[in-house]
Amino acid sequence: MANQTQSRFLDLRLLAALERLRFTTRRRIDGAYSGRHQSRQLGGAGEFVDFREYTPGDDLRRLDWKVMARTGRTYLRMYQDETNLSCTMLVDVSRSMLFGGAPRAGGPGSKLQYAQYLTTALSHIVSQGQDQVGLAIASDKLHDFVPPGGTPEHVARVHSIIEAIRPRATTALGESIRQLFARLSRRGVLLVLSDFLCDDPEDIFSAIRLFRSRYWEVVCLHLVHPLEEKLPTGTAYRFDGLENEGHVDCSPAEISQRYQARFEAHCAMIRSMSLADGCDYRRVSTATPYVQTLAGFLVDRSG
Amino acid sequence: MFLHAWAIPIGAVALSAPLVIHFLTRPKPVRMPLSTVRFVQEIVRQRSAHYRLRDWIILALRTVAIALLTLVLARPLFDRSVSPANADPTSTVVRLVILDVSQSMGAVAQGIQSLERARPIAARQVNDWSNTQANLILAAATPQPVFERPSTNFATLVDEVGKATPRPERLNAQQALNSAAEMFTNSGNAGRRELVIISDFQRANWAGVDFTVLPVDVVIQLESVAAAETPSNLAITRVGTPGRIERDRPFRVEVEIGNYSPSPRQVSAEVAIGKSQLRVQGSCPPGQRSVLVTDAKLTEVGWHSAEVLLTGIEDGIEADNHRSFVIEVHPQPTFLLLTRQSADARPSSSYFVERAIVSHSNTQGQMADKVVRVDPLRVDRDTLTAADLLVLDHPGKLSEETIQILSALLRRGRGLLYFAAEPIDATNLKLLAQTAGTSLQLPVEFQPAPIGQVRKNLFLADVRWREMPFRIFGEDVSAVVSPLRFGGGLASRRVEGSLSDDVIATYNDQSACLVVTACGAGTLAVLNAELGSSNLPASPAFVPMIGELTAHLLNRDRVYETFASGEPLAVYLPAAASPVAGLRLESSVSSLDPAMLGDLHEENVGVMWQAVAAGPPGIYQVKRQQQSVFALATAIPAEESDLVTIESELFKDRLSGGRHVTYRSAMDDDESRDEAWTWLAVGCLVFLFVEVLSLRLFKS
Repeated sequence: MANQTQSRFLDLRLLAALERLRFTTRRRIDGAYSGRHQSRQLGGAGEFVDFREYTPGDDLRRLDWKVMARTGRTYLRMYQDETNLSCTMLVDVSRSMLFGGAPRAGGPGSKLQYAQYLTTALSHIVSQGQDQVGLAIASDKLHDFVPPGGTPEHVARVHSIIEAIRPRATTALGESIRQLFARLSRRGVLLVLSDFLCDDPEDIFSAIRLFRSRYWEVVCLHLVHPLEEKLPTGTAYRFDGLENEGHVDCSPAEISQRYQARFEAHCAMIRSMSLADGCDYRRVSTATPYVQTLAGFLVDRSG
Repeated sequence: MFLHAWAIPIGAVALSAPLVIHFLTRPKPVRMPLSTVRFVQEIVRQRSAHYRLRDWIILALRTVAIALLTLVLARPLFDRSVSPANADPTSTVVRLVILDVSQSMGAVAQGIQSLERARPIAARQVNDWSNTQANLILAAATPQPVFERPSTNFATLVDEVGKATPRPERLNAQQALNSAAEMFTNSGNAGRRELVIISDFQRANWAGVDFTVLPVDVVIQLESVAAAETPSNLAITRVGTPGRIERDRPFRVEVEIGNYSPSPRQVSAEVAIGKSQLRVQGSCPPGQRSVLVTDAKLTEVGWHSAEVLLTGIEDGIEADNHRSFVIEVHPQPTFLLLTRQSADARPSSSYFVERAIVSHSNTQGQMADKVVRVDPLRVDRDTLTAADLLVLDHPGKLSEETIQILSALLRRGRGLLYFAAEPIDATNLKLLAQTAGTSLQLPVEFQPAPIGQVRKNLFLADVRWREMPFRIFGEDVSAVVSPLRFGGGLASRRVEGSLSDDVIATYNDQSACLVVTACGAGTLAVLNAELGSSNLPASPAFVPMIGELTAHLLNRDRVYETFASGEPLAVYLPAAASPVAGLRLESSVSSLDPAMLGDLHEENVGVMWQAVAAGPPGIYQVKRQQQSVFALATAIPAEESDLVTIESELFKDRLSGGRHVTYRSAMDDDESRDEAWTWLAVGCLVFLFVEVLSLRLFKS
């Protein structure tokens, strides 16, 4: 499929190494069209997998007449349908995602920038796999939403929206996810790209649980900047919050260890909440090149 | 109460230093946006109580440390009253405190100066006591009371105690006691009277004091601040250049060094005279003074400054390890022989005298002195004035003008050697005495011998052999003078009320043989004999005797001593220094009050330099324009170098004169209270150490 976008976040030369990788799911999914992913439906086409006794209401076309002739009992032949994937990427665009936007000494850029590269590349790969990709831009609310689609024009639109992302003041990711949930009618895969830095992570995961209750596959990509993992060295710093949290004066040397422990605890909490809700969790450091991150992610998912 | 009360307000201000330092040294924070600021806020919030506790502890420790440091500087005072336990607390007390500030109080023992030990004791004694009037007398060469009479202005007294420093003077203890006695007397009889004396009680200064000058009811407390063990001390006690120093003639520099330590010491001293450096070395036995000698020679006439410095010495008093002195270099002297005798008449009396003078200078291996023979009838004022020593032998009758000139020259410092052989000499001497007036008082009156009496075969019946010129013969003087036989000369009779010591030798007929007496700044010597009819010229004693006499008259045997600092100064300037107009005083001591230099004023015999107290050790010069006409050096009195203390029992047994005397040593148990400040300093350091420990404990 010819790519028709000119997004600055899409570098096809880097992605050439990933052309054979496909975004796969670990569960069977529902899709609108036939594809290469196992469908949750066991239909009348595809690969035979099992027999099942007929119950009233079943499609008589799937009845195994030969078995009924031999045994006098009615069985249906079950075939595994293959369908396409509907992947919706939810990108957190709160101001905390801007952290690292002024990289020093050639370090990584902001988390948001990293997310833009990652989602653009992923959408490209998903669309290359004949799957559908959708996009949701969220912060305090759902700001933009593109339902999953697979056409080049759709992908180009997704890319252009990603390119045009502007950060928002605050985070209310839980509410955004609920709004997204209300607008999605079919099952699929939800990728949440966020730093999960908010006052109430539980609210996020309560919203995610809505998706999980509808058998969505949810993948939490936890974006972490290296400067968040470890405070800078120095005697006196004034740290300014990015989401109207005010500022705090302190000596990083005095709290460095406690801060690291606190941050690791936050990451561990997000991970445990993700796993507890049946989500896939992946901690993504922006220090790692996004192509490497993407390759690892795809390889892991392909099993 | 504090010794240095000024430290309290400074300390109070300094207590705010920790806060000020905190704000001044607070680092300017680096601004940085942080997405996880909520975590930082959470940690800081959790730890704020921890940090607040740390900050309070550190602030408290620093504040206490500064407070202790302030107390170290302020030196808190503890009660050390002289009042006995049964003293009536309501009675008025007049307390005088004599604080010894002589040089010996600058002695350092165990790293502490004696005056530093005395300071807190003195401050306590003059401090605020109820019903008490106090005064402080700073005692050195002259006592200096802070107030004219006892006062309740304790703050000033404490301030004066704090400002007291050792002076380069000896302690005149008796004068200090007299001053205290006068103050007690002036203060009336009301109440109790106490005298506190804080000193190191040097034996040299206190052995002769008399406490009986004090009122009988005065309670005397002696506070000794002397070290338990007398500090070893080496000192230059005297530097002298005996005799008249003349250009290009070697002279001797005598450096007297006192060894006030229990062991013999090898000493080395550097003598700096102008640009030349000399070194003297020698051994000093314990408890004695040794004279080290070196020779020097100067080529320029005039006054020279010089200094002696003991090298490689560490002792109790550092200030007495160097001493300044001055040297006056004269040109070669000119002898004027006034005689009517012909130079060709040999032998003659004048011939003997001339040869003796020349021979004496030759025997010393030096250039022969110049003798100018002049007939008195043809002598003029210029010739007389140009001579350094006037020798009269058979001068005949002197004119009135000559007498007047000789008298004036004598008063202004010239020497005159008169060989009285003829009756007319009696007249000359009488006229000379009359012209000189009160400046010249001969011990005898010379008269012509009575008619019919022949003066011959006279021998010396009484000789003051310890005096010049006989002292050079030492114990052999009797062997030298007994063969001498004299003839001629004048009869003499003693003058009532005159100084008999001026008669050096007496004949067997009780007439004077040799008279040496002062006349103003000069000296007159009369040798009453006709040399031509005496065997003295043939005696081996003749040349040395004449040499000694001329040396004495030329001030060649004069030793230029240094003047003691702090002592009254009164010295006549040389005759050449007159008139007083155009003279000015200069000192090598920087930052010296010009008033302390004293003043110059004209007197009958010349210009006198007078000062209430000689200034601190150094060189003082009288200059006319840029030329020095006179110089003198002042130095620490030698007795201040001997730090041996007087035994306390002596005060009670002999010196107290029945007064109630108590003796206490600062080195006893009370010393620990005096050194409380050291414990405060230790406490200060401990608190600073605990602060560092706390910071480490809080991982800050």
